[in-house]
Amino acid sequence: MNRAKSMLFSVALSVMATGAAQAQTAYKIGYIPTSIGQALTQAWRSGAEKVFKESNVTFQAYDANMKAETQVTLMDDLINQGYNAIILQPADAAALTASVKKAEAKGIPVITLNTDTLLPHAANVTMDDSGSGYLIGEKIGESLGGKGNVAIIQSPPGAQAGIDREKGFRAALAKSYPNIKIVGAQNALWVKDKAIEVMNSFLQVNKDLDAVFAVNDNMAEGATIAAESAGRLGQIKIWGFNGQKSTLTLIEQGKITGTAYTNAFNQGGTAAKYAMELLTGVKKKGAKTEIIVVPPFAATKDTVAQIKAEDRW
Amino acid sequence: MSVSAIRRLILIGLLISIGAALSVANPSFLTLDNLMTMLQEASLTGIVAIGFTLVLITAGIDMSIGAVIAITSMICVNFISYTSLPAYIFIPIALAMGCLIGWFNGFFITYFKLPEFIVTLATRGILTGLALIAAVKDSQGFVKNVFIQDELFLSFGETVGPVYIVVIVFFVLALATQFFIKRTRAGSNVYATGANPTAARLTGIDTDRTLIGVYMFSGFCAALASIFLCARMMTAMPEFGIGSEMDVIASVVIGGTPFTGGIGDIWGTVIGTLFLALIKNGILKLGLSPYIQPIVIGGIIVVTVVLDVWYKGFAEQRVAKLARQKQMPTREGV
Amino acid sequence: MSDKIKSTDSTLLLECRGIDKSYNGPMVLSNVDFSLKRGEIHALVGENGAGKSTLIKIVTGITNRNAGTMVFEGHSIPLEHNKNAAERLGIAVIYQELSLIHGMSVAQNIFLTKEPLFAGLPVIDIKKMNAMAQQMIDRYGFNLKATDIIDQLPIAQRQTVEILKALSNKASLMIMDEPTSSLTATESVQLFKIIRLLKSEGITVVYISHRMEEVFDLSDRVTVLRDGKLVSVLEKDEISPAEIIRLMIGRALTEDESHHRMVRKEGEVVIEVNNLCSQGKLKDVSFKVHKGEVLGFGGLVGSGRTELMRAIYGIDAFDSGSITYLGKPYVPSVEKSIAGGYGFVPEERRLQGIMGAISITGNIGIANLDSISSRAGFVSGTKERERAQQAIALLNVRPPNPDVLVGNLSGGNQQKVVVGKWLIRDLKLLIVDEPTVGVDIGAKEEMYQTIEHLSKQGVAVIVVSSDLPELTRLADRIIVLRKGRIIKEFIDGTVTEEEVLRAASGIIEGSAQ
Repeated sequence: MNRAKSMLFSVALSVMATGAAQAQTAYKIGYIPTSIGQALTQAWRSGAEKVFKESNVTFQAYDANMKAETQVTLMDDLINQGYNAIILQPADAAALTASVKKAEAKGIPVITLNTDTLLPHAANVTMDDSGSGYLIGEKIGESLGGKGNVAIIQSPPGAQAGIDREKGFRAALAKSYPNIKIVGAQNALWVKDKAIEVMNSFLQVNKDLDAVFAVNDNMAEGATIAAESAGRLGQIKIWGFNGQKSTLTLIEQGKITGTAYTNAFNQGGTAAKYAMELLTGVKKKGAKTEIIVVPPFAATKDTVAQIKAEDRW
Repeated sequence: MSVSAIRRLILIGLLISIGAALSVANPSFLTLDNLMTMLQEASLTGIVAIGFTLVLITAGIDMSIGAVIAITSMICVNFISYTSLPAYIFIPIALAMGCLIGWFNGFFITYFKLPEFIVTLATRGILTGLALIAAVKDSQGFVKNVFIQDELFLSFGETVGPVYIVVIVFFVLALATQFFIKRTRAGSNVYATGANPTAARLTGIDTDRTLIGVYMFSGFCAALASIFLCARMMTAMPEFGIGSEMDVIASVVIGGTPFTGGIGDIWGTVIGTLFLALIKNGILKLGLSPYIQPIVIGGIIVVTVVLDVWYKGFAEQRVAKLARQKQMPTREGV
Repeated sequence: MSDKIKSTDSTLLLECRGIDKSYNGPMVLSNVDFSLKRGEIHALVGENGAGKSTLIKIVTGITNRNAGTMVFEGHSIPLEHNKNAAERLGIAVIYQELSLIHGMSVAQNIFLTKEPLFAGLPVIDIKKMNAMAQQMIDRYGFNLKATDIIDQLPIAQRQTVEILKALSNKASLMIMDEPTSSLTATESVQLFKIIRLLKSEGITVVYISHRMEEVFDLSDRVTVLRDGKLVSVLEKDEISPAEIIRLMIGRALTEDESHHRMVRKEGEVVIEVNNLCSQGKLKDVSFKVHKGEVLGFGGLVGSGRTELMRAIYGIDAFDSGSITYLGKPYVPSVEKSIAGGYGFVPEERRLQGIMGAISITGNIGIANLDSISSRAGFVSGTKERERAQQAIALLNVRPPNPDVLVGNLSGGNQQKVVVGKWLIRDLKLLIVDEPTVGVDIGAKEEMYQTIEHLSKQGVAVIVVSSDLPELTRLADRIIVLRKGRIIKEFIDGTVTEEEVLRAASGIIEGSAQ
């Protein structure tokens, strides 16, 4: 009830403030990641919150439980509730396209994170999935001396970000290291426990596995647990993606070989800033989606120290 | 007034009072847009719940409904991507597939006398896998969820006036099904089969045929809901509907159809579906933590079921007393 | 073939000759003749396994005969008979396990699968259906409403609905399998009225029962089966309970088996109940049971007998009153009762007494875990088996194989297993609730002997029964409950069944206390 009251209050305030200085205007901005409980989505959130603290913004996060259907429901609800802007990490590119289109038609700008939708909208703030995947492919190829067996721990079917990472990775191997064999590729649903299962099956089938690329850090950590308990951690190079704090620590300990680190605080903040600029009229919405790429950084045991403590998420 | 009528009135009363409270708490609740999206949400669950209600009345369970939604969406998207057949041809085919899956469920349950839960759970697993296999892939073999642009197909997601077509279909289907189970012989057979299968067989009811029919209907309803879901989201995903069983079961149980069979009707399910949709919408409107939602829904189910059991015990006592009183005059006459 | 049929006796509704039946193996029926006259009440009797059910199944088309002829109302019935055909001919069964649908109204049940429809539409005309049902109810003068929901009716009235259902099928033959097994004495009397009414309407009734008095009172003729063979067909003037029993079991019962005099037994009190009250169920119930005494509890169904037993055993709590067990104040709970030497054989055997999917050994073991397991809690398989064999021998369970699943045993043998669970303990008090419902006469007698055997060994026994001959046969003393109170106690001398029934029904000479 308190919250409702304060919301009513802020609405009243905004009515009174109409016509006053723009900085006084209250905005409601919604945040719909695929799941709010993950290191990456939490980092995005705190990065965005830091930006919004400076302006009069109610920033509300919603959990979609990894389901595209739920995200569509949430999008509809935020549109009905008259949110001013939405920051969305689509669970699926195609599935959220209609929702994003609907929001934009009502004048609500949508900024997507990582996964882009199929029709133009305000902006897409993304890691360089394909490029980073390519980079990891080259790193692995180099460290194996151009020969060996590699497995991939995949994202769920249809998750564009994961697919792009994998595609980039495969392209690098195909181009520069044709003698490296991809011996397996299985979906571990982005999560650690499933990745342990998948890694175990890789370990059982392939007695001479040399490297594993997991398309996110959670799954890389799962693979590490499985390899460690099989006593083969030292023989297998494990790469993740994203660069969350726990993974960086594991890299320092030498358990994980490397990850494509992106400053997720920065990424969230960039999305938030862009939203504010659109709302305050600093920027105008273009005909095409504005794509902002956050550059990756290959974090390995040698380079990880360069990532400052406050940039770890 | 009967027990179920009182229960229903209480639920409707709660529906209205929660709605009123939400209108006060958040002004965006009582807007046409919000009410219409809420009804749309309710209808997508509700269409599946109608079929599921009939299954529960026969004392069965259908765990495959979510997977039927997934496979139906894959069937549609394959037609759209790889053929030029119009929607009015492939939609009936997709619906027929839903019936066929239901037939398989019913056949295994009746012919091999297997437990409903196991059969439909197996079907669920098989269909989940098939949906992934059937999913549209790009040139490198990655699942690519297609953005549907078939206008006729997408018109299923449109509105008539402010009302979504799916809402109209839901209410018409509810009306027809309610009429069917209450006013036709085949409908009576459904109740009889659930209440006491042995007695039903002794009375000359072909319980196997009834069961197969009910599972086919359940498959049909899930397939129908799938088409509306795809049209709404303008895409199809191999994981559509997987996990939605819980919402369907919750709607039906809140609506007053128990797992024991022989009892329940569609109006209850309609109210239960609306109730669940309202609660979910309300949680969003109050800005409560998203983690609260499953807890609230679980809590409501427990409360309704406990009240049902408690009230049933109470009603049985009363009935026993009535029965005893009825017996009195004849007894003294001996 | 059909020429011959026309020449047979036209007063016969059904004529079966030389019926053979075997279910892969032993002959269940061999060369049985069975004929029914129009409008007669015909009893079919025999011990369990004599072939009664099989014969009925053949007549009603549930199963097919292997050989023999069957003629019903002049129609020769082929070997490939089936249930629907039998129904169309007018053969109806009133099942022992009621075949009504819960949650449906009387009218819905009567007309299930043949509901009246609106002309030309597949839509049920509910108004018309209710009116038709009410018309039938009124014609037979039953105390029912067409719109009553089945669940709200007492068993006896449900049976009436079954009969109406058969009548609506234009049945000319009605088969009733143990129709009184779950009725109280008064309700049974009601049913007999209805049966006579059916007879007066020209309907033939086949009556199957273990209760000889009923058979004796009702029947015009009796067919006796034994071991799948026809023993005899008795005419009205040849019927006597003793004769029927002699034919059924192939020997006459001894005086001791059929008669019993009440004997006062005094001495050490095993259990004493004082002023037990339980809201709406029991009021001021006080009694004692002595060592070696058999105390009978009579009364109508719903008079509080079962509730009283559950309270003493500790299943249900009671509001006030006290219990003294073996001289000490006792607040019952199931665990304490078992440990303290109680045995309890509940009323609904299938629901409360046995685990059908488990072997005899398992069923007996579970009630005796304390004596078959080590201190650490591990069960000793050998000990468990010994106990089971002990019980099997003591009670003559058939087959005497401890590995048989209890669900596969006959009703009588299941009952023995339930009793057997308690017998091998240091038993001080045994409570049996309706011990012989659905049990054949031979097994019944064994059950009685077991109870007597126990009481001779000093066990106090409480027997609850609606079967009046059973009570008078077993009990040393009889207490009659009515509406939760003790309304009459019969001590010493003899008691007639009528006296017990009158007390139970509330008709008592002099003061009603």
